[in-house]
Amino acid sequence: MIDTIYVENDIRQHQRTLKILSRFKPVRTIVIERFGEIFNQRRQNYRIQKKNPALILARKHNGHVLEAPKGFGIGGTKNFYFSHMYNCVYDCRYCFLQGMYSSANYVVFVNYEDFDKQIEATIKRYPDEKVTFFSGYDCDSLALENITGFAQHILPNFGNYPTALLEFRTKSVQVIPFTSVTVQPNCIIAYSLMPDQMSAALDHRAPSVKRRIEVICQLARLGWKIGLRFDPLIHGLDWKIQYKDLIECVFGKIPREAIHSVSFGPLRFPKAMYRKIFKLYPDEMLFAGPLDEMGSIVSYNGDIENEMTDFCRQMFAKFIPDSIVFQCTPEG
Amino acid sequence: MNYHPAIRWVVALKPEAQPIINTLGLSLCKKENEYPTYMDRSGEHWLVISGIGKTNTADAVVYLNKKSTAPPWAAWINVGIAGSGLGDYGEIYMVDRISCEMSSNSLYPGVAVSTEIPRSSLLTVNQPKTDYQEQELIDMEGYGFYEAANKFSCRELVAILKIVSDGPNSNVRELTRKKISALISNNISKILEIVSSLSELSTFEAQRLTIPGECHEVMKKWHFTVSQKHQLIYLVHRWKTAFSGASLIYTLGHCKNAGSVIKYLSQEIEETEIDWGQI
Repeated sequence: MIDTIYVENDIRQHQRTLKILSRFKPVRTIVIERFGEIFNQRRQNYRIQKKNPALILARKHNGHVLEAPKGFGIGGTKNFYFSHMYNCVYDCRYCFLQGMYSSANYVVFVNYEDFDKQIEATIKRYPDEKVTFFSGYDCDSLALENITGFAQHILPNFGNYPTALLEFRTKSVQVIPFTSVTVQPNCIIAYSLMPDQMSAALDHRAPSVKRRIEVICQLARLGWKIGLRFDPLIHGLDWKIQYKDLIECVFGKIPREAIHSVSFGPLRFPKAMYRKIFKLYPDEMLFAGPLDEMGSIVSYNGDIENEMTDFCRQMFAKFIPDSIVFQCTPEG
Repeated sequence: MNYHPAIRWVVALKPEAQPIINTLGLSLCKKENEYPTYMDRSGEHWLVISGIGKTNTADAVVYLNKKSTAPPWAAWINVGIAGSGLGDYGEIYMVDRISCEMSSNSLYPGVAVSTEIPRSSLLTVNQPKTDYQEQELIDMEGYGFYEAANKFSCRELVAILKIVSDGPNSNVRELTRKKISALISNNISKILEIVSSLSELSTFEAQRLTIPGECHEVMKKWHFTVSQKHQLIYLVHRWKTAFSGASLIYTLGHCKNAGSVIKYLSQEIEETEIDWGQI
């Protein structure tokens, strides 16, 4: 429950600011000049803030559309991402956001129209390329949808760009933006999945995997293209049995024709980010596992990584062609 | 292992401090002090009387931090009276924005503590001000307190509570020691409610920041270099999480030196298969 909202002076009267604020009354509203005054402050505590995060409404001045990191993609030749929001309502222990920002407060950029312009400009810049946009890199793209309405805003726009692909990455079971507009063939709703036991221990505050699969089936029935994201792969006792069960369950329930792509990737952190996250959660079970420093990254050792990726690839091969399976391997 | 919270109070005036001292049963520390300082028996609560003004308050924070050897998980709280242009005499507020006459910067204490106490912004001034205008709260300490305390603790563990003592309808000249104490006393349960939340957060942080006791035992038995100590602390956190309930000293019984301790722990962790179903 958000009880404090910081609002940049510049967008106090923005229609979207007023609309968002109207959903929260009564709430303490504090006017600030720039969101960095709160978000980038020194000596703040991510872990404590996560207990009761505030919302910051701001204007994004630049960098609306950014190139996706190497190793991130689902077959496109040009990959970009955009973030209308920083931080996430969920609290997944493997999430890089914990090490990326010093604040757990949510920032929502209300100038969606500037994102529209940048997306259009990016598509025009690469007329002969297969351009993919990822929403949900610095946040979960749908988890705060009932407040931001971002998906509902951006979805219809993509109808104008049939050659571009848009992926919403989420763990949310929010279906409203997708049930209230016509199906966009160039939009993929991508769900992060991992075996139940691991998700229960690591995906704090996120909907259960069972609920996510139910929603995937619902959206698939409506005609939406689905992305399945087994990322990161988590090691543990009987991991093979758990991933086998999950993969069989998912492909047993979701019709093949609804699946746009499957991606998977090992658990990897840049070293500095891992250290920051470990300091926040030194007694976290995830970090008690067989993680090693390898150059500039921290990950399971090579043998484990290879065994897990090989196993999953073989499992996927039983259900779908290799051409729609993508391995994401973030670099340090 | 028990983790103990740490609360550090900074109060400008004795009449403001007295109800807190009485409620918590604090005793005056020896008279050698630069600032009158009080503490409880357990050492959890320390209180300093800073005197009026930003500089005094900031100096008192630094003094108390040293005097009480405040740990990094200490919560700092400033309680005091304030003027208000809103005419709400006796009302208590939690401050979430502080500005200062001499600076264009605003400061933003954390808002992680969920409370029914209304929140407000605060203007810290250098001289007493009776031109209240539309100011929510006016005091002479808040800015100095927050700036200094935030150097020792994160913003989520620094709180300012102000009780309205004067304003357009309540003349500041009519304030007496008795009235000031009464203002604090009348709000003591609300103050303690905030302190209880801060205390929880402080314990939460103590748990995160305290070096596991087992590390000290291991370091007594073998000699570790500074770098090895860091490695040991990192590995012991992980080992304890993976092998909850097991005795570390017993496990390491066969080790000959610091290097073999580190090698053995690394190996054990390397071979760990987490049973996610047990969590």
